[in-house]
Amino acid sequence: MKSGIKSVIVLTSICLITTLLVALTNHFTAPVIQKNKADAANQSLVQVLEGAKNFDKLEKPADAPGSVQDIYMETSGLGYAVTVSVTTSYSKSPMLYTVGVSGEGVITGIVITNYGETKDFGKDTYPETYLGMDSALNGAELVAGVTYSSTAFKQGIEDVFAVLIKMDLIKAGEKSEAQKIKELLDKLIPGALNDSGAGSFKDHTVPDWAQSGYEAANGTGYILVSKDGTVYTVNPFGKVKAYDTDGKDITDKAQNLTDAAGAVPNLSGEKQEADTKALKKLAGDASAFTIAVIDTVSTVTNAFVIDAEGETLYGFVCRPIGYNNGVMTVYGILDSEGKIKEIKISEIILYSQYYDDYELDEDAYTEGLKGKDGSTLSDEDTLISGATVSGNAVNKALKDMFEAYGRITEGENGN
Amino acid sequence: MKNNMRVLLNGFVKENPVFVLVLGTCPTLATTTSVISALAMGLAAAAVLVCSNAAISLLRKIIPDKVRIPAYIVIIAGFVTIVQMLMEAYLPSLYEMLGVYLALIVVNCIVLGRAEMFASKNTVGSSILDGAGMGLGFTLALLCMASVREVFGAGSFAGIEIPFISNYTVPILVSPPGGFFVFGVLIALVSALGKKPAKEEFGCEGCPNAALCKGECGKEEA
Repeated sequence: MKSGIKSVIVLTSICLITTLLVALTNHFTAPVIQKNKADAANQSLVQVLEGAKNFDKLEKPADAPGSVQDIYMETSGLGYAVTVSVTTSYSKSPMLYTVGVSGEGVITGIVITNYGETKDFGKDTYPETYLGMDSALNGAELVAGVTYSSTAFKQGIEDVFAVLIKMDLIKAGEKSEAQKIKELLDKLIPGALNDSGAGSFKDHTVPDWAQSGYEAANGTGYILVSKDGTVYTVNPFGKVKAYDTDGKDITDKAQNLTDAAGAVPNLSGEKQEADTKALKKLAGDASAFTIAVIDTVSTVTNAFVIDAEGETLYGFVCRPIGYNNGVMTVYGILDSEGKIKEIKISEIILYSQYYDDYELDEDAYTEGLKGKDGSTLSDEDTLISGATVSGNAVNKALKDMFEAYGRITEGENGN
Repeated sequence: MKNNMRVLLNGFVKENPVFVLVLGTCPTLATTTSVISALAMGLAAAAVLVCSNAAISLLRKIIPDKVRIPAYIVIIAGFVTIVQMLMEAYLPSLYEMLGVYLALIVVNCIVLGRAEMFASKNTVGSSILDGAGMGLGFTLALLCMASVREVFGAGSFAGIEIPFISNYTVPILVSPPGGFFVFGVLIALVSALGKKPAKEEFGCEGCPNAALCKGECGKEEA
């Protein structure tokens, strides 16, 4: 007993003395370490603006994007240096970089001070493609293989320009027509966006009156751009809308609405038989299906009102973009109150394709979802450890289902 | 005086922690790709060895036997943290270069081995000499190995390019397999140059488990 107490006292004393010594050392070294880090950061400022000597730190606007860390102005008027921190689903640590922008609003240099992505493919080359670009970022491309990292990187650059323009330090660059249209694709067909916000589109054959055509990789819509610059969107149900290159709805004035609908396949109709068959397995063979035509609701590619032996149900098929830009299919049956009655997820992008030791638990994707509605579904309900991107895609699809249900039952779009 | 000199020089060749006792292999292989990082690691470990040996020797009569290992670990970890902080503040490039291996000195067998085998049984002065000898022996071993790897693997010495040799490098020497190869060759060389066969040099003196087996392990095998 006595020796036990002695052991405790001695060990505790040693721990306390050691802690004291470490704290004392920290007291003297912490300011030096802090200064070293600040010097290293300042070095990156000088590197991104050739000829720069001194910088003044500017006050960051309260509503500046979260990725923008600090903003510096070169004292002789050469330009600005902005430190950026972005993260992705694949970040081991934040990606830190410093962007130099001249007074004319052109990128003069980029220095990466920390690249904590799991894949570092292209990290030495793709940042350099931004040199000489203005805020229009005309020609800035994402990099296949590191889509998430390069998307986050590009977003950080956009944030730098956004904050400098907002502070009236530089003027915005002019975007080309082609660039505006490309940005419109993501805005007008949000269902084709992946977890990091990048759209998956492929070219589509164009009729005589159009100059270009695009098809969402997951079948959530088409875009046709007429020779006069009008942008037509055709959703999976064949509904057409028209926009100008600034994204303003001009459906009332547009000429080629019928032609646009006829120029692309009716996605909903084409997949109707297969989708109905899959939903019947969930709703029961005796059920009668009526297709519901609705406006674009992100990932929803088919919607039905189902008469299941007197009970009215609602069936939806959503095709969100999952892991590695693969298309997933989520089948859902909602009851008359909008609660999930049945749910099935197929074509799950298997992590095992990339990680040999990953074992997919398919039930984990649907567990606990029955009975949930738009007000009770949370992000955590579909969160699956080790399969975050697929889980997020399922969550997005379910939210879209609830929105489509609302539109049908409130009579906005259903017929 | 003569005895003190013997204690100090023991770690250089006769009981060299790397080539004779084969301790601290992990940092040896990891940090010997360049002479600068090897020297930094060796000196950092030597500083920890001297300080921890001194502290443990000073407290040897106070620390109860049953908590001696946790106590040693706390003392060693404390000194490693202090060395880490000082290096981060005053030698940041070396700190970056050594990375995680600096913190791993805490679990370096040489440090704990000397604490258990020497410092806990000898006076403060002798323990400091033992720590210095072992630390410098460790540094010397790392330096030898790093010199071979950097000169023939990268064609440079301490970052300075060596004419002619730099055109005929063997890059595998600076990679992990090359590290094992050079390590093996140097152990064989030291063993061959020693007066006695290397196996006989493995006495209980350098073994961290000696206190537990009390020299019985060799007899059982025989």
